Amino acid sequence: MSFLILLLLGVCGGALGGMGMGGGTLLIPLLTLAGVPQKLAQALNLLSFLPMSAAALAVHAKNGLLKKDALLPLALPAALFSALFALLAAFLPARALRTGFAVFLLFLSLARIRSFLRGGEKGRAAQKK
Amino acid sequence: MKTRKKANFFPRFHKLFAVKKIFSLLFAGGAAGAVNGLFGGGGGMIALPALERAGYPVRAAHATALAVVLPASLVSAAVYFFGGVPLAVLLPVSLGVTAGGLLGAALLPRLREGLLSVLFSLLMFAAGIRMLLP
Repeated sequence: MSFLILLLLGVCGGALGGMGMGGGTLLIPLLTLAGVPQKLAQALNLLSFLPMSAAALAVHAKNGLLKKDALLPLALPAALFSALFALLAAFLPARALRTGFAVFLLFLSLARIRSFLRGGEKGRAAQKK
Repeated sequence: MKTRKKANFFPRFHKLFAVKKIFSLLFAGGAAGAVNGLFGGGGGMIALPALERAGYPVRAAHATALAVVLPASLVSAAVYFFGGVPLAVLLPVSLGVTAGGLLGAALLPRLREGLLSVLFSLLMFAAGIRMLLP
């Protein structure tokens, strides 16, 4: 896999991430379709988004956008379960992870389209807050 | 009857930190972490709607979702890292992601979010179908 192709795939995934669209969900399929093994793509996605999200988070914290009362009940179980399921992923066959991720993507995209179609008004009202 | 009495006893508490809300946040946090660990990403896509449903404004929800996913990603990245990640691959990808991230953040105010979101969803759908095929 050439340096340039990997760099370009990273730019595509990162650009979507920077727009707050969940670039990680697109970087993984981009990498795997280019021939990177599933588990390596997952590891790459996690590792490469750390520096960027840390930088973005520092800006958000400065702007007072972090809601502390919601942060703790979300972040604690998230950290716990992500460790457990990362260990589980190490023992699962790559094929199963790929299929599971594909289903997750389909589910997410349908949920998004659905909320876009019915929530035009509601979404705009929420934006104004 | 009993529950109603409790709700009246702590009216302010009930309003601000409704028990139901806490439980739904805990559950969403667990689900976000599980997805993030298992699939190496995507936890934010679960934390974000949970925060929006809990009534936080969009920008605060985005920022807080990021703060939820970062520690979770850190933990699972450590687990994955011990599985072995070649530096020759990690380097170009993370350089690209960082550059792309800056690009995306700069472009964001100039784009129409609704249209972009639908395009992105269609792309995700296509990627999902493609990944189901051998």
